[in-house]
Amino acid sequence: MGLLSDPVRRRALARLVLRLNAPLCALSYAAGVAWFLALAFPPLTQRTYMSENAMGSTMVEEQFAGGERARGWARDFAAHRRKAGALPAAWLERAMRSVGLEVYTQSFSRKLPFPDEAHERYMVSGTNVYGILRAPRAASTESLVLTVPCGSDATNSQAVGLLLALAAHFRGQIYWAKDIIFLVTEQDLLGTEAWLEAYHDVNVTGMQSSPLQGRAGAIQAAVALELSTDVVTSLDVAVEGLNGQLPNLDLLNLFQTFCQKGGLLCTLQGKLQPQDWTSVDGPLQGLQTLLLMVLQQASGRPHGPHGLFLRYRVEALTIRGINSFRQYKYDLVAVGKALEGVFRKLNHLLERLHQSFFFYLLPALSRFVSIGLYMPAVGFLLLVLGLKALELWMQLHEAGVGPEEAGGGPESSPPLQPAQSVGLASLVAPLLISQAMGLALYILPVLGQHVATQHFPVAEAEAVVLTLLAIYAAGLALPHSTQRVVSARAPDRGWMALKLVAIIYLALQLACIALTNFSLGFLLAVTMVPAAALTKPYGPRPLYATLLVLTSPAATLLGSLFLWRELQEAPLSLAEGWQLFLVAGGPGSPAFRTAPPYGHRARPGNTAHESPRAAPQTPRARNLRGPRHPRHRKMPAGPALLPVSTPPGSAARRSPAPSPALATPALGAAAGADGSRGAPETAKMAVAAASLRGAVLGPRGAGLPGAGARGLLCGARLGQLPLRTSQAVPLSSKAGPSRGRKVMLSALGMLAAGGAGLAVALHSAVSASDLELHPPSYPWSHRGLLSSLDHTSIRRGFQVYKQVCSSCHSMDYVAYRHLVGVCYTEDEAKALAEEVRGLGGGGPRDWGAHCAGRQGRDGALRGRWRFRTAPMRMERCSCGQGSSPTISPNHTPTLRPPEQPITEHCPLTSATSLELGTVVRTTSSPC
Amino acid sequence: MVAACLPRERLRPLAGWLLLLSVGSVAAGRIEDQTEQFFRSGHTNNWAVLVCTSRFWFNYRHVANTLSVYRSVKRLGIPDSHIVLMLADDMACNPRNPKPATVFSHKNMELNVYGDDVEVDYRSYEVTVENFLRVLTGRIPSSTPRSKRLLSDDRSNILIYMTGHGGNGFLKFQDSEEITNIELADAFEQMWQKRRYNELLFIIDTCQGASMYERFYSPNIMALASSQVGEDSLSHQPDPAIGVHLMDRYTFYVLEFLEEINPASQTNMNDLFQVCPRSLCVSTPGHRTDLFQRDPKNVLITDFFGSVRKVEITTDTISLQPDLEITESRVTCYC
Repeated sequence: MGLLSDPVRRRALARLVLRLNAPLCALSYAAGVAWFLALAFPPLTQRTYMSENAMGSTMVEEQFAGGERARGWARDFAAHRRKAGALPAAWLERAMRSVGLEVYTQSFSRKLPFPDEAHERYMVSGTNVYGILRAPRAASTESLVLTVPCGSDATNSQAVGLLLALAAHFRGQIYWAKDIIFLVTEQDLLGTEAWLEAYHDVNVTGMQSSPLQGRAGAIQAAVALELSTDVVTSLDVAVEGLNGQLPNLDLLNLFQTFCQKGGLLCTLQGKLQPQDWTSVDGPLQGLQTLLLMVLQQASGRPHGPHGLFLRYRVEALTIRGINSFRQYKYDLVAVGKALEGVFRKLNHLLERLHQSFFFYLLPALSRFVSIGLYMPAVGFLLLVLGLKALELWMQLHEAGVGPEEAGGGPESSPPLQPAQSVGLASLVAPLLISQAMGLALYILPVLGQHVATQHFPVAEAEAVVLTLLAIYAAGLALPHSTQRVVSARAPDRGWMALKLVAIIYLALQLACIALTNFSLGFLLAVTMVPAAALTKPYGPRPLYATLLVLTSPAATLLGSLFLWRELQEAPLSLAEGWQLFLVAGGPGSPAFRTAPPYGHRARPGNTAHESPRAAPQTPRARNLRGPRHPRHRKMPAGPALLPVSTPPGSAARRSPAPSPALATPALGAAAGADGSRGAPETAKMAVAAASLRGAVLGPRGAGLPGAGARGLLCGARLGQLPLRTSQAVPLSSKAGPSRGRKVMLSALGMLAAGGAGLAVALHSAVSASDLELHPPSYPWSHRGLLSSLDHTSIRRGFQVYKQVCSSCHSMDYVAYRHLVGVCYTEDEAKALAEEVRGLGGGGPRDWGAHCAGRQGRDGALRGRWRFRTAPMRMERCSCGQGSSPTISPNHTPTLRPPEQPITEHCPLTSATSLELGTVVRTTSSPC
Repeated sequence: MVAACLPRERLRPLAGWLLLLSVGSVAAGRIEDQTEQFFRSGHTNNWAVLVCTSRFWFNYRHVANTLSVYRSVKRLGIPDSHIVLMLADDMACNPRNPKPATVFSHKNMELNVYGDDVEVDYRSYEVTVENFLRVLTGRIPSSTPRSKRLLSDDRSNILIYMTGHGGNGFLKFQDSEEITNIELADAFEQMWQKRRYNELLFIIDTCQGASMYERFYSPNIMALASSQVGEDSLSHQPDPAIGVHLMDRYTFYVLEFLEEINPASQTNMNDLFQVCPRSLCVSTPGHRTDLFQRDPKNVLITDFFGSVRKVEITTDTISLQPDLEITESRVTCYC
C-alpha cells in the first residue's frame, strides 16, 4: 500500500510534483541531453567483443594472392564499361564463367516516381550479373553474398576486379559450407533492390524484373564493396541501413578483428578511432563519430547497398576503400585478405548471427553503446512530457473540484467531473482531424500526383509539392475548429485536457520511434519536447513563435545539416547550407529548381577528413547521387533528418522567413511519397509524428489568435499554484479525483519501473552464454496473476501419486498436514495418515514406536508421506519378534548377478538406495 | 622374488638352517604381499565410455579430445567391443574441414586421431543425455546391438571420459540439453547398486569441470577434471589452416602423457594428477579420491586406460588364501 494510499504522503507527493514541476522538467530535459552527450565516455561506452562462438577468433590462414589478377580484371572492366556505356554484362558473364562460377543475369526496369533530372532518367533499366560458387560438400541451404554496386557516379572497377579475383581464389578452396554469391548490380541500389526482391520472390517497389534462374540457400550475411582505386589508405565501414536498421554487431566486430589482424586502417563515419580513452580528447572524438552516426541513422537512408539487405534480415555492411593522402597504402591483396578472412569465418557460422546486439550506437569502431545504456537519454526527455501530463491532470481536477467544494461542502458521492466531461467530448474532434491530416499527408500526395498531372499542366514532382501545399492550406482550418470546440464551454479545462491527451500521445509515439530507431526518436524528442511542454494559448507571443520556429522540423533539418558538415570538418557557409537544405527538402521540385544541381559539390579532401573518395558520404554529394534511386528521392536526402512535416497552425506559418514553410511541405512530400511504396517505417513514424504534433500544437494555435489572458500558464504560474493547491486539491482517499491520481501515479511508477527493467533486460540479454543453465519452463495453469491451483486436480494428482508414483518416487519432505486445506479436510488427512501408518508409514523414528504400539494419534498429521516402503518396514518391525513375513521381494541374502536389475521400472533415487543399504546390512548382520 | 632371494644367498654360508628357515618364512610373507598386490585392483576387465557432447564445427577440439583418448585406450589394449564412443558431431566429414576424413590433434597435421579403425557407437543426434544415462545404467532397449552397450560387471574397471561445454554443475549436450552433476552422481550410484563396476575413473574436460564430480557419493570412484569451479578450460593448438583450435589444453597434455604409457608401465595415478600443471593448463586441474578405496599411488594408469592381463612368472609355490575375504570385505564395506 504505502505511498499511494497514504493520504498525507500522497498530498506531499502531489504538492512536490506541482510545485517543482518546472524545475523538474528542466532538470529532466538537461539530464536527457547530458546523458546522450555522456554516451561517448567510457563508463557508458564499452569495448566491443565477439559474442558468436563460431567466429571467436581470427585464426584462419588468408591465402589470397590475386592482386595482379584483380588489377587486370579491373582494367578490363573499366575499358569494357567505357566502351559499352553501361555495365558490360556479357564480359562479366564470361569472366565469372572463366573462374568457374554458375553465372546468371537478371534484367530489371523501373519507372521512377519523379523524373531524375540530375541524371536525366525516368525509366531506369539495367542488368545484374551474379555468379554462384557452390559449396563442394554441402547442400545449398545457406549462402553468403559479396556484392559490388556499379553506378554512374562510382564505377567501382577495382571492386569488380577484386570480386572476380576473390571468386577465383575461393573456387580453389574445398572448405566452403555455404554457397557464395558474387553479385554485380547496375544502377546502384536500384539494382540491388531488384535482385533482392527477385531472390526473395517479393515485389514491394513495383519493380519489373526477370525472375532469377539460379538461387543458393538463405542468405546469411552480405558484404558490399566499394573500391575505385588500386591502393587504399583506409577502409570505411558503413552500418546504417534503411530506416536506421543496423546489422548484428558481431558482423562489424568480425570485420574489425580482421582489420586489426591485417594491420589495415579502418574508419567509421570517416573518422579514425581515438587511441586514448582515458583523457577527454578520445571520448570527444568518439562523440563526433557518435553524432555522425545518429544523424545518419535518423535520416533513415541506407548508408550503402548493404542497407537494403537488412530489410530481408540479412546481416550486411558496406566496406568502402578510401584513398587519401596518407603515407601508408594497402594494395588489393590486403583488402582481399581481410575479405577472405571475413568470409572464411562467416563460413564457420552455423546459425544466423544473433548473439550480439542489434541496437547499438558506435562512438568508434571498437566501442559501442548498448541499447540499455542509451535509452535512458530518451527516457529522461519523455519524462518531461510525463511530468507535464501529471501537472495538467492535477490542475484539471483542481479546476473541477474547487468551486464545488467551496459551494456545498464535501459531497458523499463524487459527482461527474465537469472537466472530464468537457474534455472527453471536445477531444474527439481535434484528435480525429489531426489523425486525418496525418493520413492525408501519408496517402494523398502520391495519389494526387497522377490526378494532378492528368488535369493540370504540372510535372509529377510539382504535383506532390502542390498537393502537400493544398493539404496544409486545408489544415489551416484545424486550429479554429479546435478553438471553437475547446473553448465552447470550459476554456481552461478544454485546452488542458486536449494538451494532456496530446502530450501522452506524443510521449507514446516518441517512445515507439526511439525503440526502433533511436536516433530519429531522440532527435525528434530533443526538438519537440520543449515546444510541446511549453506551449500554451497565451504568454509572450514573440518568444513562443521564435521557439516554435527553432524547434520546427525544418529548423531541425537545417541545423542538422550544419552540424553534419561541421562534424565532417567541412563546414558550410550560410548560402551553401541553404542550397543544401532546399535540395534536401525536395529534390527536383520546381520550387527549388533555383538550386543549381552541381553548383556546390562537396569540397574534397578536407584536412582531417579521410579522403576525397569519402566525398559521396558528404551530404551534398549524396544528395546528388540520391535522386537516381526512387528510394533516395523519396527519403529526404543526406542528413535530412526527420521527414516530419510542420503541423497546420504551427508558428512556421507565421515566421518571418517564408522558406521553412516551403521546405516543410516538401519534407512531407518526401515522407508521403515514401510511405506509399515499400512502406518504410520512417515515413509512417514521421506521419504519425506530424499528426500528433498537429494535435499537440493545435490548442496552442487555437489559443494564440484568441490572445486571451485567461487560463492557466503551464510554466509560468509557479507563484500562484501553491495557493490553489492547498485550498482546492482534495487529496483524501475518499474523494473522487484521488482514484484517478492514484491510477496516474501508479501508471507513471510502473512505466518508470518497466522502463528501468527493460533497460536492464536489454542490456544484459545478449550476455547470455554457454555458462547458464536454463530451468525448464512449464505453462502451469496456475501461474497467472488471477488463477489459482485447481484443487480437484491436486486431489486427483495425489491419488495418482499415492497409487502409482510412490512405488518408486519418495516425497519424504511433505507431510500430511500439507494436504489440509489444499485437497483434503483435516479429518480426511488424519484418516489418510492413520491409514497409511497402519501399514507402517511414518518417519523412521516412528517405526519402533509403532512396533511397540505407542503410536500417538495427535502426531498423525505431522508425519511425512510414506507409501512406498510399507512392506519393508513391516518386515523390519517384526524382525525382532522372530516371525518374519517375507513380503519383501528384496529379501534375498545372496548376491544378485549384476545383470539383474533391482528396480527395472523406475529410476533409483537416493531414498531407494538407502533402503537397499538397509537390506544388505540386514543380510550381513541380522538384527 | 628377487628381493627375497638375495639375502638368502648371502646368508647361507654364515647362518645355519634355522636362519634359512626363518628367512624363508619372511619371504613367504612377502610373496603373499605381492600376490595381494597382484590382485590389488580387483578387476578382470576394462571398459571405456568416451563422450564428446558438443556439435558444430568450432567445437572440433572436443571431438579431437575424445578421439585422442580413444586412440590411447585402444593402443593400450581395450578393444572396440569394450569402448562405447559417443561423438556428437562428425568433424571428419564436415564440409568446412579442409582435410576431409581426418581429425588432427596436433597442429601441422602431426597426429591424425581419426584413423582407419574408429568405431563410433553413438554419433551426432544419438548422443543425448538419455542415451548416455541408458548406456551407463544398462537400461537399454533389448534391440540395441551389443556394440552399443556397456556390458560391464562388478569386476569391470570403467573409464568415463567426457568433454564439451559445461558450467557450474552441468555439462551441455548438443547445445540443447544438459546433464547435471546430480544426475550423473545418481547414475553412478545406480551403476554401483546394479554392480556394473568395480572401480570407476571419471575424467572430464570442460569449464568448471570440478563441479561435475563434487556430488558423487558412490564408492570406488576416482575423478579428475580439467578446471576448478569458477575456472574456464582453455583450448590449445590453434591451426590456421583448419581454422579452429584442435584440442583443449588439459586433454592435450593428458594425451601427451598417455603417449608415454605402455602396457607394462608402472606409472600410477599420482603421475596423472600431476599432468598439466596450472602453468601449462591456465586452469587448475582437480581430482577427487576420497571415494576411492585404494591409494592412488598403487593404482596403475593401465588399470583404467589399458586392458592389461597381469602375468608374473614365479618358481615358488604360492598358497593362495581363498579370495572370499576380499569379496566379503567388499560386501560388508559398502552396504
